[in-house]
Amino acid sequence: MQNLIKDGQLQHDDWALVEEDTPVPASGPVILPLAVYRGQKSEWDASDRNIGVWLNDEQMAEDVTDSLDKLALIALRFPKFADGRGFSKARLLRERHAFAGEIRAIGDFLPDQVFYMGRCGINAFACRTDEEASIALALFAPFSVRYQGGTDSASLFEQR
Amino acid sequence: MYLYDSFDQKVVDERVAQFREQTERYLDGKIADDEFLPLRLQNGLYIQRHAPMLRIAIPYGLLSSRQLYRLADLTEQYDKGYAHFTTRQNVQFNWPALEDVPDILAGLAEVQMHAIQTSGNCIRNTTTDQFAGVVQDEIDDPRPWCELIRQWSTLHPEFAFLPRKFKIAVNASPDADRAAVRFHDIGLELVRDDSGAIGFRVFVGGGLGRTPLVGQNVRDFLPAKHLLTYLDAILRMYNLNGRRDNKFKARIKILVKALGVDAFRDRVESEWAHLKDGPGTLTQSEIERVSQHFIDPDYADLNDADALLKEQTANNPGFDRWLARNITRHKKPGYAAVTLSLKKVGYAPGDCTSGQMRAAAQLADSFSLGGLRVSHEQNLILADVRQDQLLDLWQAAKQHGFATPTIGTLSDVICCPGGDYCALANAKSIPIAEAIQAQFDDLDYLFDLGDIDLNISGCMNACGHHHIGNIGILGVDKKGEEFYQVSLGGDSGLNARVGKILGPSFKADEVPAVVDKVIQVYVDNRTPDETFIDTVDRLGIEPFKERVYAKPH
Repeated sequence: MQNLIKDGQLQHDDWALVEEDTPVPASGPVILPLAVYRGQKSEWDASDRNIGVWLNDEQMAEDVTDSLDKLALIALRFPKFADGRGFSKARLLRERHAFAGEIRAIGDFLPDQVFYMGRCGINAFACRTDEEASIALALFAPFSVRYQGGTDSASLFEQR
Repeated sequence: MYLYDSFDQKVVDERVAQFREQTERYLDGKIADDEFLPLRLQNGLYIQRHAPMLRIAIPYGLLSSRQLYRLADLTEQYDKGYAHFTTRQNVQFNWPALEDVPDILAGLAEVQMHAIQTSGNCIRNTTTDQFAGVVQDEIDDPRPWCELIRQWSTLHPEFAFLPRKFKIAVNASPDADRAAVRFHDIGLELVRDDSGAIGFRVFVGGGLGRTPLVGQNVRDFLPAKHLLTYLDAILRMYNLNGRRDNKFKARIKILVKALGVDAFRDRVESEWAHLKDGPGTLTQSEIERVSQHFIDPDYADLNDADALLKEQTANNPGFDRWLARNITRHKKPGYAAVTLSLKKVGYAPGDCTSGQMRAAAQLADSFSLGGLRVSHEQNLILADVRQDQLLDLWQAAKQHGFATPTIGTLSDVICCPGGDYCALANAKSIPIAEAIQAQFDDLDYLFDLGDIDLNISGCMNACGHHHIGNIGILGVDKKGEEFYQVSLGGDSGLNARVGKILGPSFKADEVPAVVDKVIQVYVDNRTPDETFIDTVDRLGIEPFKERVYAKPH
């Protein structure tokens, strides 16, 4: 399975995504549900494993801002591709809270959305299928001009 | 008008390439229907009752003759030789084939046009006064601000998947609101502070549709350079907090209502505190760069041609009526803004054939410096006509069916495409418009009745703005039969408000007689010079109700 794009390339996925009702693997990097992480925050923060957290659609950037120095990865779960909350959450994490780790899109999103997602600071994409990951790779830069500023570039008017 | 530079051109060219690739993938079966939907909608493409419908953006209603010639060509090459101008200053093709749409978009891009974000749950075309830049009483020209909003909203990465569609309108006239800004998700009113600096009064949460609401004042004065960061703050608040569980409760107006305007304002302001003075802050050089495109043309140094026009009206029956209804005062002496009517009886309001498009383009070249505007009342405007050429223009316009002298009257109906075309509609709207126009075909009578907005929508999505018509007509479905609900007292202007429903709905063939009874009550009760809306205001709707629902004796 090769459905993960990170920093513009297909990559092997080292991370285990832990669902709310499944046990946490004993070792290796894990992406935890927010509640699981919060429940034992001090232990997770003290562990030498790589720890990530995923946010569902209702959970906001503010729910993890006190842990950003502890987290290597924050995943944003798109419940449906039409739900655009993750775009704002990613920008807040990057621009307001200066999170420098991996921000990963998971869940139901389209290859056609990766350009906008990238502009909002999402740098990893767990696509729904391998085929969509290879389609998405070709869709990262459909536009060479960007009117607004994003996490990737300043606005056009600042450059004109 | 704004002319693209190489950057702007690249955006539309790359958009064409992107949509061509998406369409190919869809036709190859590699994108599911429901996933292609937001992709095509963000390019204005609906799947409609008979065929796809393509909505093309006319940014804030501004169109050059060259663009209109191109639209005419495209309707012949890819459609049935006509198009429909909409209540949001856009234009729609009703019969394109899906596989032709990338080529249509390429044809549009060659004349600096596009269909970007004309539909979908994103920021739509910004609208403004059709007389922007040429009326006398303007605070400042709203068009540069509309263009700045257009560029900011175009392909905005954060706000392409909002809870619901998002519409922004700008007004710059203190004495009138031809853009109905208080019925938009964001309404901006250009104002000056005590020092004379330009800024915006910001209204949020207006809209029509299922829950018509008047926009609330969120900020009295926003300094102009902060426009885009403040819009970012509002949109981000909405994107994160607007309802997504029920599409009928997803517009920002529901969020504003649920939070209350004070709490809403507080949350926007606290978001904005982070963005204010940040990189999105407009620079003086960018404001000037865009404003350069809207400086006045080289107007001739003229005087008003009152004496000449008086002489011409004496010799040309009908000319005076056209002057009275279809001409708007211009800020420059000796000039006038002319409305070309697309409301000829027997034709769908807002429809325009390819022949008429070419004729209108030619009139623009001959009489108005090559420019046109589309009004939300679905007419075309020539904004810079010399008064001493009005008679020639009137005669030419008559030949093409543009000179119907009924602008602003009962016969100047605003109307959506309705059940004849639209898959959403509960009822037909165009035949109702035609029946009313036929009922009121006496120009002297129409003239005497004066200003009356009559708006018709085929369903509660309200594309025909029925809530804010002085007389509003809404198509409803009752057990598979088409009925029409009538409301009175709506107002799209400075006294923004939603009309009141008269009572039980009517069958289609009853509607003209109902409108006639409403008009009779007005005629029987009006004081000298009292307009229809003022009489409705003074009397309330009871006397109208009594007359309309009176049992025959």
